[in-house]
Amino acid sequence: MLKEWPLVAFTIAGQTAFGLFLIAGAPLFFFRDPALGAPARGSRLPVILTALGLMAAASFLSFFHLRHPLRAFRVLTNIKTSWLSREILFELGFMAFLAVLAFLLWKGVGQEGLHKSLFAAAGLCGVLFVLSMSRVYMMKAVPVWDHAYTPASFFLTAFMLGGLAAAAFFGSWPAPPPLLRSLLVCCLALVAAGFLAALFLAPEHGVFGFKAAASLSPPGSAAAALHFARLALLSGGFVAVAAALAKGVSAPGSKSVAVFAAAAAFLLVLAAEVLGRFHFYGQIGRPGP
Amino acid sequence: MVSQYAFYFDAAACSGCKACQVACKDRSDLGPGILWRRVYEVAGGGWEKKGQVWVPSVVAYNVSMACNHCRNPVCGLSCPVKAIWKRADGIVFVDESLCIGCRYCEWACPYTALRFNPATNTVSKCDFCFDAVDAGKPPACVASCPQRALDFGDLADLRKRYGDIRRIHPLPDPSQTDPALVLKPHRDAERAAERAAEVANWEEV
Repeated sequence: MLKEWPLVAFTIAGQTAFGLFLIAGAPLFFFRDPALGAPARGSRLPVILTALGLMAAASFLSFFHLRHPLRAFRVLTNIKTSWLSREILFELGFMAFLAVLAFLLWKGVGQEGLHKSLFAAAGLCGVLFVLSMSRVYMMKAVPVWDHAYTPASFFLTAFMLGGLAAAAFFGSWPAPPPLLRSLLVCCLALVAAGFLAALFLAPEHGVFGFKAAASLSPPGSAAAALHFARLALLSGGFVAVAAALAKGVSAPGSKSVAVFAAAAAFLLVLAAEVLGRFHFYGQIGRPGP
Repeated sequence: MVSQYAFYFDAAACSGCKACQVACKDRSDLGPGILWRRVYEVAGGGWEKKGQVWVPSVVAYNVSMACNHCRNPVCGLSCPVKAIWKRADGIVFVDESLCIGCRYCEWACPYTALRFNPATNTVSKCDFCFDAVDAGKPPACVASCPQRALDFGDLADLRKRYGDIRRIHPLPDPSQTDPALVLKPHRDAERAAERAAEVANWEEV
Protein backbone atom coordinates (compact mmCIF):
# COMPACT_ATOMS: atom_id res chain seq x y z
CA MET A 1 0.00 0.00 0.00
CA LEU A 2 2.74 2.46 0.94
CA LYS A 3 4.47 1.62 -2.36
CA GLU A 4 1.66 3.49 -4.09
CA TRP A 5 2.83 6.87 -2.71
CA PRO A 6 3.59 8.28 -6.19
CA LEU A 7 -0.01 7.62 -7.22
CA VAL A 8 -1.30 9.15 -3.97
CA ALA A 9 0.83 12.25 -4.56
CA PHE A 10 -0.08 12.48 -8.27
CA THR A 11 -3.82 12.12 -7.82
CA ILE A 12 -4.10 14.51 -4.89
CA ALA A 13 -1.81 17.18 -6.37
CA GLY A 14 -3.58 16.94 -9.74
CA GLN A 15 -7.04 17.13 -8.20
CA THR A 16 -6.03 20.07 -5.96
CA ALA A 17 -4.65 21.92 -8.99
CA PHE A 18 -7.94 21.47 -10.85
CA GLY A 19 -10.03 22.46 -7.82
CA LEU A 20 -7.97 25.58 -7.14
CA PHE A 21 -8.02 26.55 -10.81
CA LEU A 22 -11.79 26.24 -10.99
CA ILE A 23 -12.86 27.69 -7.63
CA ALA A 24 -10.33 30.51 -7.40
CA GLY A 25 -10.15 31.16 -11.13
CA ALA A 26 -13.83 31.22 -12.13
CA PRO A 27 -14.72 34.33 -10.03
CA LEU A 28 -11.61 36.13 -11.28
CA PHE A 29 -12.43 35.46 -14.93
CA PHE A 30 -16.22 35.59 -14.94
CA PHE A 31 -17.35 37.83 -12.04
CA ARG A 32 -17.54 41.55 -12.60
CA ASP A 33 -14.93 43.66 -10.84
CA PRO A 34 -17.44 45.35 -8.47
CA ALA A 35 -18.47 41.96 -7.11
CA LEU A 36 -14.85 41.19 -6.39
CA GLY A 37 -14.22 44.58 -4.81
CA ALA A 38 -10.89 44.99 -6.53
CA PRO A 39 -9.47 44.66 -10.02
CA ALA A 40 -9.45 40.96 -10.60
CA ARG A 41 -7.15 40.81 -13.58
CA GLY A 42 -3.96 41.24 -11.58
CA SER A 43 -4.83 38.24 -9.43
CA ARG A 44 -5.46 35.88 -12.32
CA LEU A 45 -1.82 35.13 -13.02
CA PRO A 46 -0.92 33.91 -9.48
CA VAL A 47 -3.91 31.52 -9.50
CA ILE A 48 -3.08 30.12 -12.95
CA LEU A 49 0.61 29.82 -12.10
CA THR A 50 -0.15 28.05 -8.81
CA ALA A 51 -2.43 25.57 -10.58
CA LEU A 52 0.19 25.04 -13.30
CA GLY A 53 2.93 24.55 -10.71
CA LEU A 54 0.84 21.99 -8.86
CA MET A 55 0.13 20.16 -12.11
CA ALA A 56 3.82 20.16 -12.99
CA ALA A 57 4.61 18.75 -9.54
CA ALA A 58 1.89 16.12 -9.96
CA SER A 59 3.26 15.11 -13.36
CA PHE A 60 6.80 14.88 -12.02
CA LEU A 61 5.68 12.74 -9.08
CA SER A 62 3.72 10.42 -11.36
CA PHE A 63 6.96 9.31 -13.01
CA PHE A 64 7.99 7.64 -9.76
CA HIS A 65 5.40 4.92 -10.22
CA LEU A 66 6.81 3.97 -13.62
CA ARG A 67 9.64 1.47 -13.69
CA HIS A 68 10.71 2.65 -17.15
CA PRO A 69 9.97 6.39 -17.15
CA LEU A 70 12.14 7.00 -20.22
CA ARG A 71 9.67 4.96 -22.26
CA ALA A 72 6.76 7.11 -21.11
CA PHE A 73 6.78 9.15 -24.32
CA ARG A 74 4.69 6.33 -25.83
CA VAL A 75 1.95 6.75 -23.26
CA LEU A 76 -0.53 8.34 -25.66
CA THR A 77 -0.47 5.46 -28.14
CA ASN A 78 -3.58 3.71 -26.81
CA ILE A 79 -6.10 6.53 -26.54
CA LYS A 80 -8.68 4.30 -28.21
CA THR A 81 -9.07 1.86 -25.31
CA SER A 82 -6.87 2.86 -22.36
CA TRP A 83 -8.19 5.26 -19.73
CA LEU A 84 -4.61 5.74 -18.58
CA SER A 85 -3.70 7.13 -22.01
CA ARG A 86 -6.78 9.36 -21.94
CA GLU A 87 -5.93 10.60 -18.46
CA ILE A 88 -2.48 11.68 -19.65
CA LEU A 89 -3.98 13.28 -22.77
CA PHE A 90 -6.36 15.44 -20.71
CA GLU A 91 -3.63 16.16 -18.17
CA LEU A 92 -1.39 17.48 -20.96
CA GLY A 93 -4.29 19.43 -22.46
CA PHE A 94 -5.08 21.02 -19.09
CA MET A 95 -1.43 21.97 -18.58
CA ALA A 96 -1.06 23.29 -22.12
CA PHE A 97 -4.08 25.61 -21.79
CA LEU A 98 -2.86 26.77 -18.37
CA ALA A 99 0.60 27.47 -19.79
CA VAL A 100 -0.74 29.46 -22.75
CA LEU A 101 -3.09 31.40 -20.49
CA ALA A 102 -0.27 32.14 -18.02
CA PHE A 103 1.95 33.34 -20.85
CA LEU A 104 -0.73 35.68 -22.24
CA LEU A 105 -1.51 37.06 -18.77
CA TRP A 106 2.19 37.55 -18.02
CA LYS A 107 2.79 39.39 -21.27
CA GLY A 108 -0.50 41.27 -20.94
CA VAL A 109 -1.59 40.35 -24.44
CA GLY A 110 -4.80 38.91 -25.81
CA GLN A 111 -8.39 40.03 -25.55
CA GLU A 112 -10.60 39.33 -22.56
CA GLY A 113 -12.63 36.93 -24.70
CA LEU A 114 -9.53 34.93 -25.56
CA HIS A 115 -8.56 34.67 -21.90
CA LYS A 116 -12.03 33.49 -20.95
CA SER A 117 -12.07 30.98 -23.82
CA LEU A 118 -8.71 29.58 -22.75
CA PHE A 119 -9.95 29.36 -19.16
CA ALA A 120 -13.06 27.49 -20.32
CA ALA A 121 -10.99 25.12 -22.48
CA ALA A 122 -8.63 24.44 -19.58
CA GLY A 123 -11.64 23.84 -17.34
CA LEU A 124 -13.09 21.32 -19.77
CA CYS A 125 -9.75 19.48 -19.97
CA GLY A 126 -9.53 19.59 -16.16
CA VAL A 127 -12.96 18.02 -15.74
CA LEU A 128 -12.08 15.31 -18.25
CA PHE A 129 -8.70 14.84 -16.53
CA VAL A 130 -10.28 14.14 -13.12
CA LEU A 131 -13.03 12.07 -14.70
CA SER A 132 -10.60 9.90 -16.67
CA MET A 133 -8.40 9.65 -13.58
CA SER A 134 -11.30 8.02 -11.78
CA ARG A 135 -12.17 5.85 -14.79
CA VAL A 136 -8.63 4.44 -14.66
CA TYR A 137 -9.62 2.71 -11.44
CA MET A 138 -13.18 1.74 -12.34
CA MET A 139 -12.29 -1.73 -13.59
CA LYS A 140 -14.59 -4.73 -13.46
CA ALA A 141 -11.67 -6.74 -12.15
CA VAL A 142 -11.60 -4.53 -9.05
CA PRO A 143 -15.22 -4.32 -7.85
CA VAL A 144 -14.30 -2.25 -4.76
CA TRP A 145 -13.20 0.57 -7.07
CA ASP A 146 -15.81 0.08 -9.79
CA HIS A 147 -18.34 2.35 -8.10
CA ALA A 148 -19.65 5.90 -8.30
CA TYR A 149 -17.78 6.56 -5.05
CA THR A 150 -14.49 6.63 -6.98
CA PRO A 151 -15.30 9.66 -9.20
CA ALA A 152 -17.31 11.25 -6.40
CA SER A 153 -14.41 11.06 -3.97
CA PHE A 154 -11.93 12.31 -6.59
CA PHE A 155 -14.06 15.37 -7.39
CA LEU A 156 -14.74 15.98 -3.69
CA THR A 157 -10.99 15.94 -3.02
CA ALA A 158 -10.53 18.46 -5.85
CA PHE A 159 -13.25 20.79 -4.63
CA MET A 160 -12.49 20.51 -0.91
CA LEU A 161 -8.77 21.22 -1.28
CA GLY A 162 -9.24 23.67 -4.15
CA GLY A 163 -11.97 25.53 -2.27
CA LEU A 164 -9.96 25.84 0.92
CA ALA A 165 -6.88 26.97 -1.01
CA ALA A 166 -9.06 29.51 -2.82
CA ALA A 167 -10.49 30.73 0.51
CA ALA A 168 -6.97 31.25 1.85
CA PHE A 169 -6.07 33.06 -1.37
CA PHE A 170 -9.11 35.33 -1.38
CA GLY A 171 -8.72 35.96 2.34
CA SER A 172 -5.21 37.27 1.86
CA TRP A 173 -6.29 39.37 -1.14
CA PRO A 174 -8.56 42.41 -0.91
CA ALA A 175 -11.70 40.46 -1.67
CA PRO A 176 -14.98 41.70 -0.19
CA PRO A 177 -16.31 39.90 2.90
CA PRO A 178 -19.46 38.56 1.13
CA LEU A 179 -17.31 36.73 -1.43
CA LEU A 180 -15.07 35.25 1.27
CA ARG A 181 -18.07 34.29 3.38
CA SER A 182 -19.77 32.60 0.41
CA LEU A 183 -16.58 30.71 -0.34
CA LEU A 184 -16.23 29.55 3.26
CA VAL A 185 -19.87 28.40 3.30
CA CYS A 186 -19.18 26.40 0.13
CA CYS A 187 -16.07 24.91 1.74
CA LEU A 188 -18.07 23.97 4.81
CA ALA A 189 -20.65 22.20 2.66
CA LEU A 190 -17.94 20.44 0.62
CA VAL A 191 -16.04 19.22 3.68
CA ALA A 192 -19.33 17.99 5.17
CA ALA A 193 -20.09 16.19 1.90
CA GLY A 194 -16.59 14.68 1.86
CA PHE A 195 -17.01 13.49 5.45
CA LEU A 196 -20.44 11.95 4.82
CA ALA A 197 -19.33 10.30 1.57
CA ALA A 198 -16.35 8.73 3.34
CA LEU A 199 -18.37 7.75 6.40
CA PHE A 200 -21.05 5.96 4.40
CA LEU A 201 -19.50 4.95 1.10
CA ALA A 202 -15.75 4.40 1.55
CA PRO A 203 -14.95 0.89 0.36
CA GLU A 204 -14.57 -1.83 2.97
CA HIS A 205 -14.93 0.36 6.08
CA GLY A 206 -17.72 2.79 5.13
CA VAL A 207 -21.13 2.04 6.68
CA PHE A 208 -22.54 1.07 3.29
CA GLY A 209 -19.16 0.72 1.57
CA PHE A 210 -18.56 -2.07 -0.91
CA LYS A 211 -17.03 -5.16 0.66
CA ALA A 212 -14.68 -7.27 -1.45
CA ALA A 213 -15.95 -10.74 -2.35
CA ALA A 214 -13.81 -13.83 -2.82
CA SER A 215 -11.71 -13.59 -5.96
CA LEU A 216 -8.27 -14.38 -7.34
CA SER A 217 -7.06 -10.88 -6.42
CA PRO A 218 -4.90 -10.83 -3.32
CA PRO A 219 -6.48 -9.28 -0.26
CA GLY A 220 -5.73 -5.63 0.42
CA SER A 221 -3.97 -4.11 3.38
CA ALA A 222 -6.17 -1.07 4.02
CA ALA A 223 -6.34 -0.62 7.78
CA ALA A 224 -9.53 0.62 9.38
CA ALA A 225 -7.35 3.06 11.35
CA LEU A 226 -6.63 4.96 8.11
CA HIS A 227 -10.34 5.34 7.44
CA PHE A 228 -11.16 6.55 10.95
CA ALA A 229 -8.14 8.89 11.07
CA ARG A 230 -9.37 10.39 7.80
CA LEU A 231 -12.82 10.96 9.28
CA ALA A 232 -11.28 12.60 12.36
CA LEU A 233 -9.15 14.92 10.23
CA LEU A 234 -12.11 15.86 8.02
CA SER A 235 -14.07 16.67 11.18
CA GLY A 236 -11.18 18.91 12.27
CA GLY A 237 -11.27 20.69 8.90
CA PHE A 238 -15.01 21.19 9.22
CA VAL A 239 -14.62 22.68 12.71
CA ALA A 240 -11.86 25.04 11.51
CA VAL A 241 -14.02 26.41 8.66
CA ALA A 242 -17.08 26.65 10.92
CA ALA A 243 -15.03 28.57 13.49
CA ALA A 244 -13.92 31.05 10.83
CA LEU A 245 -17.52 31.60 9.76
CA ALA A 246 -18.66 31.97 13.37
CA LYS A 247 -15.98 34.58 13.99
CA GLY A 248 -17.15 36.46 10.89
CA VAL A 249 -15.10 37.97 8.11
CA SER A 250 -16.26 41.58 8.28
CA ALA A 251 -14.84 42.87 11.55
CA PRO A 252 -11.34 44.33 11.60
CA GLY A 253 -8.74 41.61 12.06
CA SER A 254 -11.26 38.83 11.51
CA LYS A 255 -10.13 38.36 7.93
CA SER A 256 -6.68 37.21 9.00
CA VAL A 257 -8.38 34.75 11.36
CA ALA A 258 -10.38 33.45 8.39
CA VAL A 259 -7.21 33.06 6.33
CA PHE A 260 -5.52 31.19 9.18
CA ALA A 261 -8.58 28.97 9.68
CA ALA A 262 -8.82 28.24 5.94
CA ALA A 263 -5.11 27.37 5.81
CA ALA A 264 -5.43 25.14 8.88
CA ALA A 265 -8.51 23.46 7.40
CA PHE A 266 -6.61 22.96 4.13
CA LEU A 267 -3.79 21.16 5.93
CA LEU A 268 -6.22 18.99 7.92
CA VAL A 269 -8.23 18.05 4.84
CA LEU A 270 -5.02 17.43 2.86
CA ALA A 271 -3.81 15.02 5.55
CA ALA A 272 -7.25 13.38 5.57
CA GLU A 273 -7.24 12.89 1.81
CA VAL A 274 -3.70 11.48 1.81
CA LEU A 275 -4.77 8.88 4.37
CA GLY A 276 -7.98 8.26 2.45
CA ARG A 277 -6.07 7.72 -0.78
CA PHE A 278 -3.72 5.22 0.89
CA HIS A 279 -6.85 3.49 2.18
CA PHE A 280 -8.21 3.48 -1.38
CA TYR A 281 -5.08 1.91 -2.90
CA GLY A 282 -4.84 -0.49 0.03
CA GLN A 283 -8.11 -2.12 -1.00
CA ILE A 284 -6.30 -4.41 -3.38
CA GLY A 285 -2.96 -6.10 -3.10
CA ARG A 286 -0.54 -6.69 -5.91
CA PRO A 287 0.35 -10.32 -6.50
CA GLY A 288 3.96 -11.45 -6.42
CA PRO A 289 7.02 -9.28 -5.75
CA MET B 1 -5.21 -23.70 -38.19
CA VAL B 2 -5.78 -22.79 -34.57
CA SER B 3 -7.81 -19.61 -34.18
CA GLN B 4 -7.69 -19.42 -30.38
CA TYR B 5 -5.44 -21.50 -28.16
CA ALA B 6 -7.02 -22.35 -24.81
CA PHE B 7 -6.42 -24.28 -21.61
CA TYR B 8 -8.67 -26.95 -20.12
CA PHE B 9 -8.58 -27.55 -16.37
CA ASP B 10 -10.27 -30.41 -14.56
CA ALA B 11 -10.72 -29.30 -10.94
CA ALA B 12 -12.12 -32.70 -10.04
CA ALA B 13 -8.88 -34.38 -11.10
CA CYS B 14 -6.42 -31.86 -9.67
CA SER B 15 -4.69 -33.07 -6.51
CA GLY B 16 -2.95 -29.75 -5.85
CA CYS B 17 0.54 -31.19 -6.31
CA LYS B 18 1.68 -27.98 -8.05
CA ALA B 19 3.75 -29.81 -10.63
CA CYS B 20 2.29 -27.45 -13.25
CA GLN B 21 3.38 -24.40 -11.25
CA VAL B 22 6.90 -25.73 -10.82
CA ALA B 23 7.21 -26.90 -14.44
CA CYS B 24 6.18 -23.44 -15.65
CA LYS B 25 8.70 -21.75 -13.37
CA ASP B 26 11.42 -24.11 -14.47
CA ARG B 27 10.72 -23.88 -18.18
CA SER B 28 10.57 -20.08 -18.18
CA ASP B 29 13.32 -19.67 -15.57
CA LEU B 30 11.14 -17.39 -13.44
CA GLY B 31 12.66 -15.67 -10.42
CA PRO B 32 11.47 -15.90 -6.82
CA GLY B 33 7.87 -14.82 -6.34
CA ILE B 34 6.97 -14.82 -10.04
CA LEU B 35 4.37 -17.41 -10.94
CA TRP B 36 2.87 -17.53 -14.39
CA ARG B 37 0.79 -20.54 -13.35
CA ARG B 38 -0.56 -20.76 -9.84
CA VAL B 39 -2.47 -23.42 -7.97
CA TYR B 40 -5.03 -21.74 -5.72
CA GLU B 41 -6.25 -23.78 -2.78
CA VAL B 42 -9.91 -22.85 -2.35
CA ALA B 43 -11.38 -23.71 1.03
CA GLY B 44 -14.39 -22.79 3.13
CA GLY B 45 -17.18 -24.05 5.29
CA GLY B 46 -16.88 -25.51 8.75
CA TRP B 47 -19.60 -27.18 10.75
CA GLU B 48 -23.34 -27.03 10.28
CA LYS B 49 -26.17 -28.30 12.43
CA LYS B 50 -28.51 -30.79 10.84
CA GLY B 51 -31.26 -31.59 13.34
CA GLN B 52 -29.44 -32.30 16.57
CA VAL B 53 -26.21 -33.27 14.88
CA TRP B 54 -23.21 -31.14 13.89
CA VAL B 55 -21.74 -32.29 10.60
CA PRO B 56 -18.74 -30.95 8.68
CA SER B 57 -19.60 -28.70 5.75
CA VAL B 58 -16.05 -28.14 4.53
CA VAL B 59 -15.48 -27.46 0.83
CA ALA B 60 -11.96 -27.70 -0.55
CA TYR B 61 -10.52 -27.96 -4.03
CA ASN B 62 -7.72 -26.58 -6.18
CA VAL B 63 -7.78 -24.23 -9.13
CA SER B 64 -4.77 -24.17 -11.45
CA MET B 65 -4.76 -20.87 -13.27
CA ALA B 66 -2.46 -19.12 -15.73
CA CYS B 67 -3.16 -16.46 -18.32
CA ASN B 68 -6.35 -17.43 -20.13
CA HIS B 69 -5.31 -15.64 -23.33
CA CYS B 70 -8.70 -13.96 -23.29
CA ARG B 71 -10.51 -13.06 -26.47
CA ASN B 72 -11.17 -9.67 -24.89
CA PRO B 73 -7.84 -9.14 -23.13
CA VAL B 74 -8.51 -6.25 -20.76
CA CYS B 75 -4.82 -6.17 -19.88
CA GLY B 76 -3.98 -5.16 -23.44
CA LEU B 77 -6.93 -2.80 -23.72
CA SER B 78 -5.83 -0.98 -20.59
CA CYS B 79 -2.13 -0.82 -21.46
CA PRO B 80 -1.30 2.80 -22.38
CA VAL B 81 1.64 1.84 -24.60
CA LYS B 82 0.17 -1.17 -26.44
CA ALA B 83 2.83 -3.43 -24.96
CA ILE B 84 0.37 -6.34 -24.74
CA TRP B 85 -0.69 -7.89 -28.00
CA LYS B 86 -2.48 -10.96 -29.30
CA ARG B 87 -1.10 -13.32 -31.94
CA ALA B 88 -3.27 -14.72 -34.73
CA ASP B 89 -3.60 -18.00 -32.83
CA GLY B 90 -4.94 -16.16 -29.77
CA ILE B 91 -1.83 -16.22 -27.57
CA VAL B 92 -1.42 -12.96 -25.66
CA PHE B 93 2.13 -11.64 -25.26
CA VAL B 94 3.83 -8.85 -23.34
CA ASP B 95 6.44 -6.90 -25.31
CA GLU B 96 8.87 -6.15 -22.50
CA SER B 97 10.76 -3.66 -24.65
CA LEU B 98 7.67 -1.42 -24.73
CA CYS B 99 6.39 -1.92 -21.17
CA ILE B 100 6.77 1.20 -19.01
CA GLY B 101 6.19 -0.69 -15.77
CA CYS B 102 3.06 1.21 -14.71
CA ARG B 103 1.55 -2.13 -13.58
CA TYR B 104 -1.93 -1.01 -14.55
CA CYS B 105 -2.54 -4.33 -16.34
CA GLU B 106 -1.92 -6.16 -13.06
CA TRP B 107 -5.04 -4.52 -11.64
CA ALA B 108 -7.04 -4.90 -14.84
CA CYS B 109 -6.67 -8.68 -15.14
CA PRO B 110 -9.27 -10.46 -12.98
CA TYR B 111 -7.20 -13.66 -13.15
CA THR B 112 -4.08 -11.86 -11.83
CA ALA B 113 -2.14 -13.33 -14.72
CA LEU B 114 0.20 -10.35 -15.09
CA ARG B 115 3.16 -10.62 -12.76
CA PHE B 116 5.76 -7.94 -12.15
CA ASN B 117 9.34 -9.04 -12.80
CA PRO B 118 11.79 -6.98 -10.71
CA ALA B 119 14.69 -8.21 -12.82
CA THR B 120 13.38 -6.49 -15.95
CA ASN B 121 11.13 -3.90 -14.23
CA THR B 122 8.32 -4.93 -16.53
CA VAL B 123 5.26 -7.13 -16.22
CA SER B 124 5.43 -10.69 -17.46
CA LYS B 125 2.94 -13.47 -18.05
CA CYS B 126 2.32 -16.95 -19.43
CA ASP B 127 3.30 -17.13 -23.09
CA PHE B 128 1.59 -20.50 -23.59
CA CYS B 129 5.08 -22.01 -24.13
CA PHE B 130 4.60 -20.75 -27.67
CA ASP B 131 7.91 -22.15 -28.91
CA ALA B 132 6.99 -25.64 -27.72
CA VAL B 133 3.45 -25.32 -29.07
CA ASP B 134 4.76 -24.08 -32.42
CA ALA B 135 6.95 -27.19 -32.52
CA GLY B 136 3.90 -29.39 -31.93
CA LYS B 137 4.61 -30.04 -28.23
CA PRO B 138 2.42 -29.27 -25.23
CA PRO B 139 2.99 -26.36 -22.82
CA ALA B 140 5.15 -27.32 -19.81
CA CYS B 141 2.26 -27.17 -17.33
CA VAL B 142 0.12 -29.53 -19.42
CA ALA B 143 2.99 -31.93 -20.00
CA SER B 144 3.88 -32.07 -16.31
CA CYS B 145 0.44 -32.79 -14.83
CA PRO B 146 0.47 -36.35 -13.43
CA GLN B 147 -3.34 -36.36 -13.07
CA ARG B 148 -4.03 -35.19 -16.64
CA ALA B 149 -6.01 -32.34 -15.11
CA LEU B 150 -4.69 -29.90 -17.71
CA ASP B 151 -5.09 -29.96 -21.44
CA PHE B 152 -4.69 -27.45 -24.22
CA GLY B 153 -5.77 -26.94 -27.79
CA ASP B 154 -8.05 -24.92 -29.96
CA LEU B 155 -10.88 -23.44 -27.89
CA ALA B 156 -13.56 -24.77 -30.24
CA ASP B 157 -12.12 -28.33 -30.00
CA LEU B 158 -11.83 -28.16 -26.22
CA ARG B 159 -15.46 -27.06 -25.99
CA LYS B 160 -16.53 -29.97 -28.15
CA ARG B 161 -14.65 -32.39 -25.90
CA TYR B 162 -15.25 -30.93 -22.45
CA GLY B 163 -18.21 -28.55 -22.60
CA ASP B 164 -18.39 -24.83 -22.05
CA ILE B 165 -18.05 -24.17 -18.32
CA ARG B 166 -15.73 -21.21 -17.76
CA ARG B 167 -16.48 -20.24 -14.20
CA ILE B 168 -16.13 -21.87 -10.83
CA HIS B 169 -15.92 -20.09 -7.51
CA PRO B 170 -13.97 -17.77 -7.01
CA LEU B 171 -13.20 -17.06 -10.67
CA PRO B 172 -14.65 -13.85 -12.15
CA ASP B 173 -17.58 -13.57 -14.49
CA PRO B 174 -16.21 -14.71 -17.89
CA SER B 175 -18.14 -11.96 -19.65
CA GLN B 176 -15.50 -9.52 -18.36
CA THR B 177 -12.74 -10.86 -20.60
CA ASP B 178 -14.11 -13.82 -22.58
CA PRO B 179 -11.33 -16.16 -21.39
CA ALA B 180 -10.07 -19.00 -23.58
CA LEU B 181 -10.69 -21.50 -20.82
CA VAL B 182 -12.74 -24.63 -20.34
CA LEU B 183 -13.31 -26.05 -16.87
CA LYS B 184 -14.60 -29.16 -15.23
CA PRO B 185 -15.76 -28.13 -11.74
CA HIS B 186 -14.95 -30.00 -8.56
CA ARG B 187 -18.06 -31.37 -6.85
CA ASP B 188 -17.56 -28.88 -3.98
CA ALA B 189 -17.50 -25.87 -6.31
CA GLU B 190 -21.28 -25.63 -6.45
CA ARG B 191 -21.51 -25.02 -2.67
CA ALA B 192 -18.29 -23.01 -2.36
CA ALA B 193 -19.83 -19.53 -2.65
CA GLU B 194 -22.57 -20.17 -0.11
CA ARG B 195 -19.97 -21.54 2.30
CA ALA B 196 -17.78 -18.46 1.88
CA ALA B 197 -14.90 -20.41 0.39
CA GLU B 198 -11.89 -18.33 -0.54
CA VAL B 199 -8.28 -18.72 -1.53
CA ALA B 200 -6.43 -20.24 1.40
CA ASN B 201 -2.82 -20.04 0.20
CA TRP B 202 -2.22 -16.35 -0.57
CA GLU B 203 1.39 -16.59 0.65
CA GLU B 204 2.02 -19.05 -2.13
CA VAL B 205 0.27 -17.55 -5.13
